[in-house]
Amino acid sequence: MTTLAQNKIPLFSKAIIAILLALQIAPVAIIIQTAFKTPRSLLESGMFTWGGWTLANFHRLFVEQSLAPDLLNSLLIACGSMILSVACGALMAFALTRWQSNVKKHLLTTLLIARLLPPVALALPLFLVLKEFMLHDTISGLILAHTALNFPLATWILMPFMDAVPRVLEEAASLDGASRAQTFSHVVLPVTKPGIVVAALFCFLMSWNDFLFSLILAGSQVKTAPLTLNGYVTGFGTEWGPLCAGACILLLPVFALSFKLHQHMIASPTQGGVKGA
Amino acid sequence: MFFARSQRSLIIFILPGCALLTLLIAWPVLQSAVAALSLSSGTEEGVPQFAGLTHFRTLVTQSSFWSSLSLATVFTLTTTALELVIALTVALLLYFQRKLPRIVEVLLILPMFVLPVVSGLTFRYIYDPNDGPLSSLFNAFGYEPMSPLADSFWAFWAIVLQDIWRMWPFLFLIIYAGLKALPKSAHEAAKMDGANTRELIRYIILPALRPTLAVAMGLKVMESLKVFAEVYVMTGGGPGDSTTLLSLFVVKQAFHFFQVGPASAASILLLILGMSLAWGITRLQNRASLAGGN
Amino acid sequence: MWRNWKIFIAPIATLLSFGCIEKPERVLRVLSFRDRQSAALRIALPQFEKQHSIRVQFDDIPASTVATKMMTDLATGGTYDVYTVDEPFIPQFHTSLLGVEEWPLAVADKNTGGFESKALEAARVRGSLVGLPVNGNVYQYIFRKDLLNEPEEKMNFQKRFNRALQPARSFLELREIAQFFHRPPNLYGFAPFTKMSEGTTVELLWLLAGFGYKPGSTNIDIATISEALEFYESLLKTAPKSARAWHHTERMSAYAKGRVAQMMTWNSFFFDLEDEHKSLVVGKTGYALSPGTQSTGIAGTWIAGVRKNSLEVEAAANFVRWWTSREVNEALIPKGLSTARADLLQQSQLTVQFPWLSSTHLNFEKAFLRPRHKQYRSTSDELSKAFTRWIAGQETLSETASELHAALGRMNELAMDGSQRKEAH
Repeated sequence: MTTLAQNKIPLFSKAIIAILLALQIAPVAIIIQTAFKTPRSLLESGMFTWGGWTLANFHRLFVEQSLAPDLLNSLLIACGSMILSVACGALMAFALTRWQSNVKKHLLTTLLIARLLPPVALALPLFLVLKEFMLHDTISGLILAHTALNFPLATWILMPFMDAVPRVLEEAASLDGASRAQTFSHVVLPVTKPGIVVAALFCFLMSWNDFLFSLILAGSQVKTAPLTLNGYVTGFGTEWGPLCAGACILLLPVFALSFKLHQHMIASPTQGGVKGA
Repeated sequence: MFFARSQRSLIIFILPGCALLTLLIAWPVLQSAVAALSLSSGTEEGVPQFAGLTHFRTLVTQSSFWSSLSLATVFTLTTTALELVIALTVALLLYFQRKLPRIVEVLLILPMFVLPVVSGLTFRYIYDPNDGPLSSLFNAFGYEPMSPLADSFWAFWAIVLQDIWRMWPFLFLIIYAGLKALPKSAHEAAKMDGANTRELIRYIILPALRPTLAVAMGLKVMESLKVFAEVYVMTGGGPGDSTTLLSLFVVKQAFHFFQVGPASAASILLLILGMSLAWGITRLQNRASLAGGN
Repeated sequence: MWRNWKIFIAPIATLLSFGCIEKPERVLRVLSFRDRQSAALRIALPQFEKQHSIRVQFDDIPASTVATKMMTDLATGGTYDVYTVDEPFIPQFHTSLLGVEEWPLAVADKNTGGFESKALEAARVRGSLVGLPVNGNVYQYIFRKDLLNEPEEKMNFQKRFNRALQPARSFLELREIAQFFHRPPNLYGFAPFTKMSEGTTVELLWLLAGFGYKPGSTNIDIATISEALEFYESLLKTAPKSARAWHHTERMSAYAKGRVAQMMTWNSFFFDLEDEHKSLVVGKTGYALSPGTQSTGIAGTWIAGVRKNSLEVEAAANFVRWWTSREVNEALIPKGLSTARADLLQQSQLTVQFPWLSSTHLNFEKAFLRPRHKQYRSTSDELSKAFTRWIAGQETLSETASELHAALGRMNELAMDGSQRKEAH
């Protein structure tokens, strides 16, 4: 009975996944395709037809609009924020799951507030804070601002992973003479790698796609790519070509990152780590 | 001895996080609360006067506030539930499939990476009854294409669909990572006892996955409450205010009507709503981790 | 754990590298919206910089974000010297702007005669100018002149409606032409504006103005509003079914594809309509005075103003003068500028090259302005909500008419609290 069921499932699940894949990809395919079309061909035949291919949209982005420095800014900010958020988040999540105290509850609540407040409400006061430290309109300022939003996200994601690390491993390590810090970096971190990878990806993504903070907290010296791209969406209509071209470019790094990180997500280090029940 | 040392060293662990929290979160939130309670608007100078709960009262008496609140709640619950189902199904499917190529998995989650604005605009195009693919589908079956975004009822579901498309990978990643982190020992034991896949899922995997699911749901709820750009670009909040979620309401108050007071008050209310939802989830998580911790 | 210290290198290094290296030169900071002309203006900046020996930092950001940025900037002390402000936000920000009459004497030419009077009126708060218009928009009427001039069409129209086919001069004629050219699925008579936004208010105000509404002087009763809505319904019937959720994107796209015979729209679109890369109806559009005996066009504008406590008031004032000068405007019109200068809109050379200029001028003369008041946006929101709900079929006509009546009454009060715009006279 079990073997039969298991033979049927693969085909059925393959079909579901195939359909899902098609549905997920379709809108993205539209975006990619539009990036390579001239405005006139969009007008004449809509987004689905063959023909009217051009690289002009990309040319416009990089030459006329000089998207490259903005992309670099976005990259620096996203990487910085990702590293900072995940580092602090991992530390915080670890501490919160090991601590026995009421302070924990208060900290958790404060973390919640950070995630829940709409960025709009956070933006103006944050601007004031950054201005105090002369960090407004700088890359570091934006890194800190993004971290403010991302680090609670990282903490939240990592908590169940930290929780799931068997205490047995930690105790074994400390019996071997390791300090808390060493236990953390050599034992806990590798085990929670899938969680760390997911948290890192999310933090990078949130930072990479951010528009509001870049607008309010920067915008003169430091411009990020989403800010530039939003310029193509006006109250008077959208310029599909450059917008989709920009969107495609923005997709690439995240796509590459997730591709690369994929293998780390798959690892199951608990296998073989704990013997017996 | 282990206990005492551990408490002290733990403080160092949370120090960087706490510093960030105080400076970059606690302070701005306080400012926001002050703005919600004072009379000055965003562009006037001068010392803010204490206005007490005036702004909250103004908010609560506006019918549009309540409709925004209920829309936001329905939106959050619906999208979270539907996305959770899809994410869980796919995660379980992939968990039992050993040989799915890497590219497929990455492509599945691709929508999550798309800029919200671009996503909203693309779906607006998809729904277009003249040129959009949806209309072609209607035509193929011989029906007159309808305009989802022009209908008060369907506009809401149109934005729900967009959110599902974009955000189920978000839940999927968390759940999938959680699945992968589960110790295999329990599974092997169950299999040896003769459990089939369905029983395995129901009695072993799902309970163990509860903390992860709680986190995923909590995060999704929080993100849903903040949804703005995609919806704004698709419908502008309309027709009427049938898609004006609370986040849109807040932004409209702040940046269209320039009423920073009510905007901050609405943000605080959004905060309270989210916190109550998230508190419930934390309770679930605590119970789950107490039960399945070791 | 201190291995993690490495992560702090990146942010600290970046911070140090962006440190306070102040250049001792004078800088004029300008916050502007971004469009074709701002890109062109940027290229012309060196000319100004050399003339006034000051560096210009021209930050152009998406138009919809300018007000947000301005608000946050002002709330924290203000770093820009020149701001561009969209008409709806002028009352909000006017306290931060230096009145034009107070600009330094060195900025000699105080002549504001070249501008459209309506555009200047928009730039006035309580009688005094707070800035100068850098562009001018007016909601006006366009039609497919190739269709209207077609002899066979003329003949058929004469037969059917018993009068000549010509650009609509009244609402009745507008409807007749719309019905005549209602030929689905390739051609429709009229392109409405129906998506929830400020644009719906504009369309609604245009519609109601045709039935007698004038903000600040006349309100109209529910019966007339119902009549207006019924009229609009008949127009909607000549538009595609999908047009019940149309915004600029969809409307202009439909017109540019050649699918629409007439519409009301802003002159800022015309440049693209005559661009063969962006339009299939190049040379086929006729520009005329908006139909109706009352003033039925709505005017809008962006102004540039000088911040009150700016350290570079003189340079800022010079910049605004330069930007709105005849020479610069003339150079920018071929780049797509919708100028607010009446002298240029009537200049014969330009009007030959850009046929919409003279009709823009005519429409400007007949246009009226939306009441600029802090409460304007929320009242406008009420109007668009009621209107879009009716179009979506969520409300009956009578419900909508009474809601609109209430909101219009409020808008009237805002306009009559005319203290916001000019002194009562």
